Amino acid sequence: MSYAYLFKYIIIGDTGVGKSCLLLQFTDKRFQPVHDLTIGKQFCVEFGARMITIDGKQIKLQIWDTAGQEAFRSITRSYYRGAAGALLVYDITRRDTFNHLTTWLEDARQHSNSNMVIMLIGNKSDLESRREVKKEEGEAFAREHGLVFMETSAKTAANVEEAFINTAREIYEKIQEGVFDINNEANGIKLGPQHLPSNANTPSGGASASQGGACC
Amino acid sequence: MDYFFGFKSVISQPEAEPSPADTVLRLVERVTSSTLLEDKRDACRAIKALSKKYRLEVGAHGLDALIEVLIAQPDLETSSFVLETLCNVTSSEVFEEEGVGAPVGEQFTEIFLKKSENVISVITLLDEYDFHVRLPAIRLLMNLLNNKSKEMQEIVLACPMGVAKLIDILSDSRDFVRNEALLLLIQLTKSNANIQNIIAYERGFDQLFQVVHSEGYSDGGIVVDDSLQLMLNLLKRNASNQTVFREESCMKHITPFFQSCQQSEVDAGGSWSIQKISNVHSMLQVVRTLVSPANATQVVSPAQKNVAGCGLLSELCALLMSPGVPADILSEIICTVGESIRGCRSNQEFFGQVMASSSPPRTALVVLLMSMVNEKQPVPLRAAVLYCFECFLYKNDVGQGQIIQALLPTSAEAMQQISAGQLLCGGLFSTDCLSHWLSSVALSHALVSNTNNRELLLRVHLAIAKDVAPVSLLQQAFNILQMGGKLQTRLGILTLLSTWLADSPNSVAQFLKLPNAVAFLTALVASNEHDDQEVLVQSLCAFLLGLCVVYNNDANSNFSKESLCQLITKRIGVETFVDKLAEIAKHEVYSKALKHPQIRINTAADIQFDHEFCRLYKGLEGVIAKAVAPPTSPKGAESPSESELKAVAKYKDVIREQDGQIQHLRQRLAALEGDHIAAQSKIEELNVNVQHLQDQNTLLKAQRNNNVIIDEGETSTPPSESSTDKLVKELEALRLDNERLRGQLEQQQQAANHFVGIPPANGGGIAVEIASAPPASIMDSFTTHEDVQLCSFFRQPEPMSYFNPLEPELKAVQSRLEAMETELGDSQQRLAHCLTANAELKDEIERVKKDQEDLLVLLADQDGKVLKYKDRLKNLGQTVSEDEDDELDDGADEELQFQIENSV
Repeated sequence: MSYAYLFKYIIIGDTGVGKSCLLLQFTDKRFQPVHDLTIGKQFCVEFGARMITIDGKQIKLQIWDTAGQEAFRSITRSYYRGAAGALLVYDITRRDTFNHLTTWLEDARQHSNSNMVIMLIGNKSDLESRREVKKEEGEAFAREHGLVFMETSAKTAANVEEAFINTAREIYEKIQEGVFDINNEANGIKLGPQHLPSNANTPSGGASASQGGACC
Repeated sequence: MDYFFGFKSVISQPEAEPSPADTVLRLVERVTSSTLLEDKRDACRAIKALSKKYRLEVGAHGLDALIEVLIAQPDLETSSFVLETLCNVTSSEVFEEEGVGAPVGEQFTEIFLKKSENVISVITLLDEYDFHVRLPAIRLLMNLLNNKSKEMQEIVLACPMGVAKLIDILSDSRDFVRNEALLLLIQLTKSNANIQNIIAYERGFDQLFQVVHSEGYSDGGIVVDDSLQLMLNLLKRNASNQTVFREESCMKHITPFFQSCQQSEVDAGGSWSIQKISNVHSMLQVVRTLVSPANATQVVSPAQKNVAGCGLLSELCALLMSPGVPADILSEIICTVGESIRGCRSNQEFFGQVMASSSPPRTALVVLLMSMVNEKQPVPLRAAVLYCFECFLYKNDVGQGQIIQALLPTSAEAMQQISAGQLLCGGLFSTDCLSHWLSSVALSHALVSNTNNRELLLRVHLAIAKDVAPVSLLQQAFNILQMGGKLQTRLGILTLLSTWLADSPNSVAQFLKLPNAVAFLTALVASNEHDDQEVLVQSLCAFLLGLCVVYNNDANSNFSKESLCQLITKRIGVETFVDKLAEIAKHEVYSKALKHPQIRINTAADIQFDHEFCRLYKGLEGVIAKAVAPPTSPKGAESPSESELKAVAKYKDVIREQDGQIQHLRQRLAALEGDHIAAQSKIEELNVNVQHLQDQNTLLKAQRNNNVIIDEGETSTPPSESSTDKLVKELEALRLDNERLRGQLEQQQQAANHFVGIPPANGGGIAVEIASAPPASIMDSFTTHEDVQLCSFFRQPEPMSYFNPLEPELKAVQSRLEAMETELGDSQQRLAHCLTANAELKDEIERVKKDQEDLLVLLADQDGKVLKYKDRLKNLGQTVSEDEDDELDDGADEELQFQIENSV
């Protein structure tokens, strides 16, 4: 499938807030209630991809799900630089995950490129009875730090699509405004093959090898 | 400058300076103490010059100072010297001067790595574009990594942007620097999934393909190979990165690589260079890593579709058929193609239709099989073809069917064209034992999990010679087995027969019909040879015999299931049989073959077991052991007589009946248990409910008691009522008590008053009375002990002293009386006075009354007059105001008031 743009996302936040579940819900449209820690597997980072449409344009999202544990913080830091968007997730039923947002945000701001779009996600909105963090608090935090805010439920899929797509829309708008340098792939944005000149199929320069050819 | 001369002298006359350690010490001191940057830099330069020859001294004395300079980063040149010095100090190679077994580099690495800041400052220096800084920095990291791989990996991971900075160098325009970075990354990614993932995330694949492309694909130098090695590191056993690879559609970059190796091959018209072989080999490894059967299916099948989708499969097939490809590369390509089609139906179909450019036209499959049964071909290649053939037939019943179908006599055209099946059957007749093995194993793969084909193959007959009647394939295979021959031949045939007979009662029946078949197998299994290889054959024979037992449909009365079991028990012995059967699993080659589908071999002799056969064996070994060693016959070798058999049959019936009963009872038991559990849970539930209610009750009670105090109006219950009642009663009682006490008090007071109120004159009388009675006589009259108190009462108040206090009171009262009498006199006088005054006043009132009457008469007259005048005025036409009337009224009122006052 060909795409106009490719955006790289990362999902960050404390352990157990439902990062992997959000990814799974978005890419596979399913929910896995069994909590297997992302780090329990062989890798600290899981990966998923999906195509979405914004403004009639096909956009491919590559999403990298990081491990929330403190021990893997330094590894997670390596992922900020190359991302165009980040979903910063907390759990509305656990106050401490909300309290840690500042640390996460500091980390992200310090290591990412300044244009990275950060969306604040209050996950597990289906567990209203166990809520510890009010929606207003999330909104206030987002307002204070210039983030987009949303409450989602990876279990019921409420707002999950919107969270990913709104982030993509924000990035897309930034591209339209010319804020992002789309030729620098280190920003987490890549132009799709059909955006390239037609002679891209016959690679002549060093750069075209990475972009040329039709997608399969 | 001054110092510089000193340094020169050190270098020019080393003999004059006997201790290099002193020199190093002096230089190190200069580095630490000098404030001038130039001085410092020169010292560093000098140390660098010495660091190769005297690295032990430099390391021992100067490491701390060098690290200090490294972190301070005074200027690029100095940093460069320090980095190069550290490179020498930490180098893992052993210099001539040093003794063997002194890992100097490793020791200094250990010291250097004690603080991760040291490494981080080296990584920070990578930002400098200067060749003289960047290159030694990379080399230093490389040295550290070579010496302490694990520790370095952890430090680099912990350093923010550490890995990213290294990847950035891959796009350095200076090839030399880029290549060094490539080597560093290869080392860094070894068995560290986290670093591998970060590199993939940082578009590592793209960058590597860029390098491969710019270096000219397969014809490139060692850098291409290095890039591919790094790519392999990223992909091996890393499912996440394999997904990234696919998602970023990197597969399409591989296709031009193989296109390029065909083109250039035509140009050169000759053999491939060693580098090219290595490059292509690495690239094939990359592809195989993606489609390896060791990966999870959900990763492999999209990768296989990807390989076909971007034209890589057809490119590989083309390369397969093109001449001039070196044999070892060809084997690798065959394996790659095999794994790319394994279990993927569309790819298998594609491969089945690939044609070789030969005359007459043949499919690539046939051409490959031809080389497999050709004993002149190298062994690895022939094994690779078998693997590829296996992959082609894996989960491909259509392909399997085609192979067998071509062998059947009904297909006429099969005679004209050489089919794959024919080639394999031909292989059975070859003189080469490896061909036997390969052909029979290949043929067995056409039967794997395909019962239909097993039966079809029974119909296959072979014409051995022109004048001999054709024999069935089964017979022929058995004949070969009987002839003995080499180990591989027999193993191959036994593999084929085992696969054939498994799960196919008809095949078993056919096999048992073969003359001598059972006797041969029994003899082999029973034989007592202990040769390692012979044991293996015996074990396989036991397996085959076991299959005859398990999949026996009792069609052949001579060799029914039961009689075979008896035969085994009698001739071989159950224990021996089971031992022999287990022999395969004990063999080393078995576990190797079970691990991976591909046959990994170095020499022809290595080939013994096939992966699929091992799986079959693993699944059925237990079943056979159970079938052959029946648990119901504890007597073992002795065969039971007919009566015994009858008895046994009877018992069997009984047992069967009992079994049924037991089954029935079990079911009932299960049902009852279920009921019981349900009931228990209900009881428990109820208990909980009761408990809950009780709790609630007590809670309510407690609440109510609280409420009673606050609000008595609320529903009052007996206990509370009683408590209030009690209180009320108590109160009543207290009141009564009080009343009683008051009564008593009053009585006492009366009594007291009585005493007090007695006139003084009488009191004296009493006193006289008491006094006249002598106290002693009274005392004597009281004899009982109880009356002592009374006695004391009488005795205590002395009569005189008792009345004494009354006397002054009396006097006071008398005086008061006198005062009052005088007052009374006064009052009487005043009264008389008042009476006279009263009489006077009465007279006056009388007089006033008379006056008043006179006035009233006068007033009445006046009134009449006024009315008269009013009438006259009215008659005269004058208006008379109300006020005047009112005045009249007022006047009347005043009069009335006056009257009343007077009357009072």
